[in-house]
This record gives sequence, structure tokens and C-alpha cells, in this order.
Amino acid sequence: MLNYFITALFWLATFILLVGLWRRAQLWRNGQAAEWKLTQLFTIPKRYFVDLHHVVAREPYIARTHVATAGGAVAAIALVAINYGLMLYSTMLNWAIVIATCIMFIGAFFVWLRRTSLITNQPPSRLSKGNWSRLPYSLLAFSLGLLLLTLPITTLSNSIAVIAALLLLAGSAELALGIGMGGPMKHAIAGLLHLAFHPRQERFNDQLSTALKPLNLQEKEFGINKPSDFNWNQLLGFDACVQCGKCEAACPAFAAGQPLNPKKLIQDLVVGLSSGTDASFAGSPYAGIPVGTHAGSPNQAIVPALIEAQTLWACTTCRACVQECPMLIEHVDAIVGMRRNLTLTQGSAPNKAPQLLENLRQTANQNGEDNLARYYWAIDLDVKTISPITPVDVLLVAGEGAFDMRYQRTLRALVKLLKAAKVDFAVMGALENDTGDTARRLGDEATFQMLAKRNIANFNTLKFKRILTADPHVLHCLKNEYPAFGGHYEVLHHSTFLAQLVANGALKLSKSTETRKLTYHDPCYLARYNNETKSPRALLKSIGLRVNEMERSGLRGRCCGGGGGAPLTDIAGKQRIPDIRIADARSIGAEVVAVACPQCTAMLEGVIERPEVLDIAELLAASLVVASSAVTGLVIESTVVAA
Amino acid sequence: MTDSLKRIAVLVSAGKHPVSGQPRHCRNDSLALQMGLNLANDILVLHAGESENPALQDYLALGAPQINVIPTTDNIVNNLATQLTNTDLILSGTRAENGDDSGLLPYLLATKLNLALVADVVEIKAYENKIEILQFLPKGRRRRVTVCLPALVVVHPSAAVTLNFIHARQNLGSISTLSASNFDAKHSQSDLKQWHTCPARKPIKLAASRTLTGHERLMAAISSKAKGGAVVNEGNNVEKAQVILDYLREHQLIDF
Amino acid sequence: MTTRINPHRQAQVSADDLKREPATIKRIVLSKAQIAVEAHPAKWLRTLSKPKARLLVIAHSDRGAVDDHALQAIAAAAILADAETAVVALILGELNDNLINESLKQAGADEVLVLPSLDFQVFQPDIELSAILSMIESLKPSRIFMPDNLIGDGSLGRRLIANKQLTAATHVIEIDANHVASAQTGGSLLAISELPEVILLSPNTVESELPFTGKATRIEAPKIIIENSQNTVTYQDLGMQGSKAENIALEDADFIVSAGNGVQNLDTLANLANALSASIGASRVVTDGGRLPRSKQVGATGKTVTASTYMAIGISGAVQHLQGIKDCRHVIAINKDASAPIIKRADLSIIGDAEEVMQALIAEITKAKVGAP
Repeated sequence: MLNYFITALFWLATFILLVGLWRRAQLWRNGQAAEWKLTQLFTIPKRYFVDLHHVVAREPYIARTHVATAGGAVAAIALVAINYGLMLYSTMLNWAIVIATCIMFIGAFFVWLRRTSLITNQPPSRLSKGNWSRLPYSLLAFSLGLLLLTLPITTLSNSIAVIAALLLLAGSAELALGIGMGGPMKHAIAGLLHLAFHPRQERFNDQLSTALKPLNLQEKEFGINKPSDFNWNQLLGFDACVQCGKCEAACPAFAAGQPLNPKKLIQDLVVGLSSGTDASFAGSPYAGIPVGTHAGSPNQAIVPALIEAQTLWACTTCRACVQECPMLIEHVDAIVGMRRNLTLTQGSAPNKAPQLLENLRQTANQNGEDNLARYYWAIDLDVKTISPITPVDVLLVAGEGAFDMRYQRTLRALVKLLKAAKVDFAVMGALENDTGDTARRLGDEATFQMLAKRNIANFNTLKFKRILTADPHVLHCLKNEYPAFGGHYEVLHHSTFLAQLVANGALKLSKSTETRKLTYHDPCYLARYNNETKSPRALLKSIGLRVNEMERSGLRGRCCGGGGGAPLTDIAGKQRIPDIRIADARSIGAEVVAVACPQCTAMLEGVIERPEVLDIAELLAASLVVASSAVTGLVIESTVVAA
Repeated sequence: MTDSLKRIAVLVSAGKHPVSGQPRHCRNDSLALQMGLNLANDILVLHAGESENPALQDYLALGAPQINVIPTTDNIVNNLATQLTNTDLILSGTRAENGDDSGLLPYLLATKLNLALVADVVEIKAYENKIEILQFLPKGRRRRVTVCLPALVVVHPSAAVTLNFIHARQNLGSISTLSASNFDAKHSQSDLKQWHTCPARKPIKLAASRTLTGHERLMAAISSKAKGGAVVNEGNNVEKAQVILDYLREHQLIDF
Repeated sequence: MTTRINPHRQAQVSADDLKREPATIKRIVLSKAQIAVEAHPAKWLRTLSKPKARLLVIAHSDRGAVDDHALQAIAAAAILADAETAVVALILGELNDNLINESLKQAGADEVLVLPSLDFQVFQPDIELSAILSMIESLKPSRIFMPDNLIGDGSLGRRLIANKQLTAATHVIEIDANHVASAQTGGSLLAISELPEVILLSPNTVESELPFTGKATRIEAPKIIIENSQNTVTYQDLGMQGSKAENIALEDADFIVSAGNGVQNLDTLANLANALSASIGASRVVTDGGRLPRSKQVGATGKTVTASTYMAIGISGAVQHLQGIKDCRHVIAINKDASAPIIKRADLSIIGDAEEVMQALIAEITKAKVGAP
């Protein structure tokens, strides 16, 4: 009797699940076409157990409970499928089901425990409530019900059997009905499919995949206006979100009280793809924007009905959310996609952003300067300027920081190091245009492509082996984003290049005289965008400096607030992001913050009470062994200015 | 938006970035364009110059639905006037930024067409046969004036309109050249004296030549060397306040 | 001492963005006696001979006074005039008192004509044009000088040029006996020509401090019959708009008092602003702390202001802040710390407690206003 009940329930649930999935798939299919192959499904196990688990394992507690819960559930359901679906009713298999459900029950118990106040004072605020609070109970009900009903030892009393059946029914509803209706368990199916059809397949081949995808402007591709403008696999990706809030906890804009929460953003897009309002969202809201006032549907413009523009403009594109996301969702692609539409079709980037974009269009630099002035800092340093008839080994591309008198000290220090290491190098001079990094992050793909094409045309007239830059934004653009426009170069960040010079003995440095407590701030565009966290630390170590790590460092470092054009769009919050970052440094008692990016330097130096901010190149230059008169002069000058 | 205006025309000139020399829209004219767009969808945008000038692409992105290019023969005023005979309202920027940017063209045109003219306009409301404008005056002052149509309005750089550079609009707008035969190609006598240009330098201030006494020379030498501001460290608060008042009075920054 | 200029500042160069001169007068004169000595050095009368020709300067008065810019136009004419040429100042609008006449004299005006009904506050361009046309008719000047300003002279001058088809130079930033020059292409070119019939002068093109004076004889303006029916049909002046200091955009404000971290009591600041009819600004720290709205923030990330007077109270003067006030003519700092960067930028610095100095200043202003006529 019970056996038939379970069999019937299994097939009914399977049917409901398939119907639900089919309906959900129709929603994904509202998106734009993207290349996919059915065989990608075979990649799921590796991607799940290796790539995804690599992220989840950063939090061992949840990793273990998830292994138990999901593993138990998958095993139990598979066994039910065999034993009851195929009507074998084997006692042996029932024992196996009992073991699987026990494991699932224990896992679900710990899931529940985390959400109560029993072991921790408070469940983390990043977790969503609402139907996600229901989930542990559903899972407990499912596992307990199944456990009781499949226990092969005793015949259950009728009342217990009825209760067990009801528990199983409730649990199955969550699993079968819930998925189709967009309940929390949809993450299981959408998540697995998302792994297979992820929009950035390179991520799973150990390749860096941080470059934005170009728009075909001639074909009038102007970014994301409505949810159905996303590719179908991006929509699928949003559906995979488990609302764990790790993105929220990592987001610098959220921490600063700006109206952005990456978790809510993804959920809003889920609302958009499935039509509805954000009223049922049960997590942290965007600061200052009440939940329940926005709605969307696949063919309705996202801004402002579903998401306010200020939410999109608050993002620093630091990729901390992407780095943290256990479901490997690409938040930054979504945000820049929507920004592109605002900028290209409404021209509505806020505050100082339009002026900067205009300057870029009219002068190819951000502040309307004379491009000749970019290398004025090098005039007295006897530095070669490249020309089509003077081939060099290393081409130094200074970037926008070159106009900044503060960052010029870093560049001068770098030049000094290059000369000491007898590197054959030249600067780009007036041929250099802004890389277009900021324009691209601000959604102005047209200006970015114009600048990229100009730069590539200029590079093509020159002969050099590699490009060196002290600006991680330049690094990212040239190295990762220019290839899509036919510009393929070996591009090195100065920390990487200097580390090579130190390692091969070309650059000889003495122990640093710096005695103050030092920390290193990882630039997002160097660490997360280019996976370079070792060279800066190796360099500091090579001159005898110990790096006291801040709580958030390396690939998980906290943004300075300077990326993505955020200082220009300047969305109001309760705090400023660089203040938070300096607080990080002060909390470990750091007196010197080593940096490796002009944006970080400017942002962190903008904080009034702070440790000293010094670029790696400046720290190294102070430890240079060679003593020529010109070099000494430089040391004196930089010390004076620093003081 | 209003239906009461028969026809609105906006004059746009080709600008040039002062540093890079790159062609661009002239911001002052763009403000006039945006003001025109705020009044009506269908406006006549006129440019005297080359249709290939990349600056015109900027105006498309800034909202010009179509730009009519008039060839530059010697008498731009006459050429423009022939296109503007049946126009209710002509808008232009205060000053071009390329070539002869004297700010005279609107005045010459208004005189030629016998139009009313208001300058330094920051806001326009349109009514039947007339417009009400808000005029910029220095130190935060503003004046409201109604002007009977037809009229020419010169827009002030601080006009309360937002420029939206929208890339997608570049594809929507079009540029057409009006054939030269329609125009008065006769050389009219240029009423300005010959100008020649040279790269900018610091202008020399006109001052009366004078013979100085020894004491005056001494005083001049001392005062010109006094760089950096005065710092008042001592005295009580009333005295300090008095110093500030004296300073403000000395430089006529207050009138009490 | 090198001043750091942030290259990230927002440059917005339009044709009207002429670079301002940095403050040239940086010396304060504390004693009254010294002022007297400096204001009236011995000067001679420029010309005694009977005039054979005239240079005409036309300018509006503003609330009864003639501003620096107009005086510079008069001085230009006086410097360029020969001994047999008289400088005639035609003032449109009221003139308040003899002091103003004295300033016209100091600027070199030989004859002064006043048309009080043509105040700049009333918009009557056609009447003004026909008035000056008939004045020109009767005076037959060899050249006309006007300040190229926004209180009506720039516009009136252009109407005149267009109407009479005169040779002209506008936005003139350099002038001498042989040539005039204007900035072109947003200031990257200088256009040069010989002296035309009408010259519209930009501010600070001429040193109005002269070693000589004019006679400044007040002349009864000839009766002008003005055909004013056309004007009233075409233009209807609805009046000036009340513009309280707090309503003026910071960018447009002429007088700003700005609060920094050193200001504890913003009410005192508001009172001071009120007493001085000034707009209120703030440093980043103050707006970040939510004590004043972000729209009040002055600096690289906030507003760039061009006020004639900028009073920085309790503001240390971070680089970003100094960038925002780089075009302010007179910067007055009130600060506790004499080593703050703002002190180096300020034309006058008062070292002291912000609250106390503000209170004292409010009291002095109140006293002065009561005492003033």
C-alpha cells in the first residue's frame, strides 16, 4: 500500500517537476540566442565538484552541510527512482534510502541550525528570509517522511504513517512543485544547467575570463534595456542564485550604504524574467529604496520600473561579488550591460560621468588635457619616446595617472628602477590615447571602441616586444579587452615585470629602511581581473618588508572605490568606500599602505586621517643599490614631497 | 511642447576643442538645440559650413533630427536669412567657438530679418504669438520678459537644460546639404576689418605710461613683491572681524 | 612651494570659459591713514585743451554705481585719447552721488552724460538703441568703447554694431593704440585687428589706475525724443526675479561663505551668510557627515565655484577643495590652524576660533549696516 503511494508520488512529482521545468525553460527562452551544445551537459560533474565546490569550500560549515543535504537528497531520490519508480521494492535498496535520508536529515538539520539563534548569536544578515527560511523545514520534512516510510523494519502505525506521508508530501512539493514555481529549490536545477551553459565557458578551463564582451554597434546592439535582452543563458544564471548573500557581504557599495546590493539585483532580474514585483524579496534592501515598490516583466524596460539607475551606477565593477558567488553568476556583466543601454540610448550617466565621456571623445583623455602633457613628468629623466623608427624592448604606457602629480612620483620611481635594471624601454608619448577603460565601465561602448581602435592603430605602427604599465586598468584593457579588436600584446603590470627583474638578478635592491608596519592593498583590476597577487608581495619581501595582511586581501581584497567610474557617478551613501578600506588598514595598525594602482593611490590618499600610501615602485626605488647622481637627486625629491 | 509656434529654427556652428583642436559641437549652440527640442519635436537645424564636419555627428547625438547644411559663401547672414524668412523663433548660442566667434551673428541676422532679439536667455516658455523668457543677469539676478514673435533668442551658457549625448541617435538623424544655387553667392562687402590670428598668449594689459617718483617706484617694488595673503594672528575677535570688513570694503565686495 | 593641481579636475572648456586672472592684490591695508595716501596720489589733469574730437564710452550703471569693468572702458579711452580728444562717458541708469563722479574722474572721463531712465534693470533694448543712436548723432565720436558685460552693454553694443554696420571688435582682451585682440576658439587663438569703430572690452583688459584724471564735467544730456511705441509692443518686461542668496546656484554665486570641519554651529554660519547676502558652501567633510546637503559641496568632487569672494571658515583646504575655488578672486580664510593649506591660498587669513570670529563679524556687520546711510 505504502509502496504504491511512494511510486505514485514519485511519478506524480516527476511529472510536476518536468512540467514546471518546461515552464521555467520558456522564461529562459525569452532571452537572446547564445551558442550552446547539448554535450555541455556532460561538463556538469567536473564543474560542480571542482569549480563550484572550490568557491563553496571557502565556508567549510556550509560546504559540509550542503554535501550532506544535497548529496543525501540526490542519492535518496535516485534510489527512490529505482526502487519505487521501477517498482522493485527491494529491502536492500530501502536500507540504502534510509542511509541517504539520514545523511540528508543531518545536513538539513545543520542548515536549520545556522538559521536559528541557537549556535550563533544571529544568523548572518546576508541570508534571505522568506521562503528560504522555509527550506530547512521542507528538507527536514522530506527526509524524515521518506525515512519513516521506507524504514523496512516495522510496519508503522497508521497515524505515524499518515504523518510521515504528509511530511513526504510537503517535502516533495518543495522539490517538485517549488522548482517550477520559482521556489528556493529551483537553484538545484538552474544551478546545474547554469554550470553547463555558463556564458563564460573559459572560466572552467582555468582561463581568466574578465573581459567584457564587445557590442556590435553597427548592428545597433545597445546593451540591456529589458530582461529579454539578456542572453538566455544569462537569465538561466540569474535563476541559479541561492540568495546566500556572499556578494552582498563582499560588495563595497553595499557596505558604504549606497543603493546597491548585488544579491537583490540578481533577484530583481529574476523578478523581471518571471514577471512580478520585488515584494517577496526577503533580504537586505538597496539602501534607501523600499522593497515592494518595483516590478518588471521580460519585455518591459528594467530602469526605472524594476531597478533604479542609481543602483547600477553605484557599482565599482570590482568583481568581489563575482569572486564570491558560489553559483558563478556574472553580476558585473549584467550591470555593465544595463549601463550600456542607459549611456548609449539615454545618455543618462549621472554627475561628472558625461563630462568625462565628452572629454574622452574630444581629447582622448579624461580631463581635456593636451595629450603631450601626459609625459611631461618624464622630460627631465632622459627617457626615450617611442616612434615608428625606434624599436624598443619595453613600451611604457602610463595611462591617465600620468596627468596626476601624485602618481607621477610613482612613474618617476618606476623609470628609475627600469634604468637601474638597464631595461631597454621607451614611453608612448603623444601617441597614447586613454585606453577607454572608464568609458567602457560607464557603458559608453562607442567611445571605448573608438579609443581602442585608435590605440591599436598606433601600436601597430610601433615596434616593441611588450607593454609595461603601472596602471592595472590599462593592463586589463590592453591585455584582456583589446584582443577582441585585434590588438594582441604581451602586457605586464609593473609589479610582475619588476618581480621578474628581481628574480633574474637584473634589479639589485638592498633591504628597505622602512620600519613602519606595512600592509598591501590589492587593486581589483590587478588581483581579481588579472590574478596577480604574488608579485607585489614577492617584491616587498625582496626588500625585507613584511606584509601584514588586512582581513580582506588578495583575490578577496576590498575595493578602494575608484573603479568602474564610480568616483564620477558619485552615488551618495552613508560612508565613502575608501574610508572603509583605510579603516581596514588602521584596524591592523598599518602605518604604510603599499599600493600598485593610480586609482587606489588617489582614492586612499583622499582619506584625511590615514596611513601613508606608497606605491610598490616608490618603496623599491628607495632601496635601490645603484648610486648615480641623477638617481640620488630623485630620492631626495621624492622624500621631500612625501614628507 | 506647444503647437502655438509655427516653426522653430536652431543655428548650430562647428566647434573645435581648444586643446586638442578636434572638431566638436559648440556647447552654447547645443544648449540652444536642446531648448528648441524642449519646445517642439520638429525643428529646423541649420549649419553654415561643411556637411562632412564630424562636429555635426555630435549634434545628431545631441538630438538634432536633421541638419541642413548651407554652403559657406561670403555672406553667411544673407544665406541664413533666406532660409529663415518664415520662422517664428530662431535659437542660437551666445558665441561660437571656432572662427569668428564675436557673438555678432545673431544680431546681424535679427537686424537683417527685422526680428526681436533677446540675449542671455536661460529659460523659454512659448505662448501664442509670444514667448516668455528668463534672462540671465550677473550675481544671481534674473529677469522675465515676454517677447513678441517672430524673435531670435540667444541662449546663455548657464541655460537650465541638460545635454544628453546619445550615441544611438547618431544613426537616426540625417545631414543634408542645401544646394548652393539657392544662395546669394555675391561678394558682399565685408563690414569687419581684416583680422589675422596667432597662437594664444597672455594678453598685455593696457596701462597709462607714467613717470614715477623714487618713492612711487619703491612702493611699487615693495607691493609687487608682497606675495601670499596677509595672515592676522593677533588681536581680539572684534579686531579680526574689523580686518575682514576692511578687506571687503577695500575691494568693494560689500556695499555697507 | 609648489601648489599641487589635481589633473583629475573636470575641465569643461566652452567658448565663454575665459581664464580668470589670479588675485593680484594681496596686500591688506590696515591703517586708515595709509589708505588715504594711496587713494589720492598727486595726479595731473590729462588734457586742458579744447576738444576737437571725442571718444565715447557707453556703460550701464548698476544700482547707482559704475563698476570696475565700465571704469576700465573709460580708462582705455582716456589712455588712447590724444590731447585734443575728450573722453565722454555716457552712463545709462542713475548715478548715486559725487563719489561715483569722482571715480569717473579718476578713470579719466572728461565729460559725463547720464540718461537715468535707461537703467539696466528695465529691459528696453529698442529705446536704448535709439537713445544712443541719437547721442552718437549729436556727439559724433571717433570711436566707441563699451564694457562687454552681461548687464546690457554687451548686448546693446552688438545691436549698435548690427544696426549701423560699424566695424567692431568684441570680447577684446588686449588693446593698445594700434590694435585690438580677442580670444578665439575657446582661448587657443588670438585674433588681431587694427582699432575698429566700436570696441567691446572684456574685463581686466585695462589698468584703470591712472596717473592722471579727467575733468568729469557733468553735461546736461540733450533731450532725446524716443520712439518707444515699438519697444513696448515687442518686449514686455515682467520684472527682476527675487533671488535670495540661498537660491543662487553655487556656481553662479558671487559671495560664498563656506563651512568646514572647524564650524561647529551651522546656525551661526547661516546668520553670517544672511548678513553678507552670501550663498552657503561646504567642504566634503561637512556634506559627507550629512550636516549640509551634497549640493553645497565645493571642490573637485563637488562644485567648482567662481565667486568674487570666498570665505573659507574652518576649512583646512584639501587639494580637492582648493581646486574647486581656483577661480575665486578673493579668498578669506578663518582657521584655527595657521599651517593649514588654505592659509597659503587665502588672500586674507584670520587665525582664530571660527565660532568666535563669525559672531564678532556678524556683530560688526550689524553695526556697520545700522551706521550706513
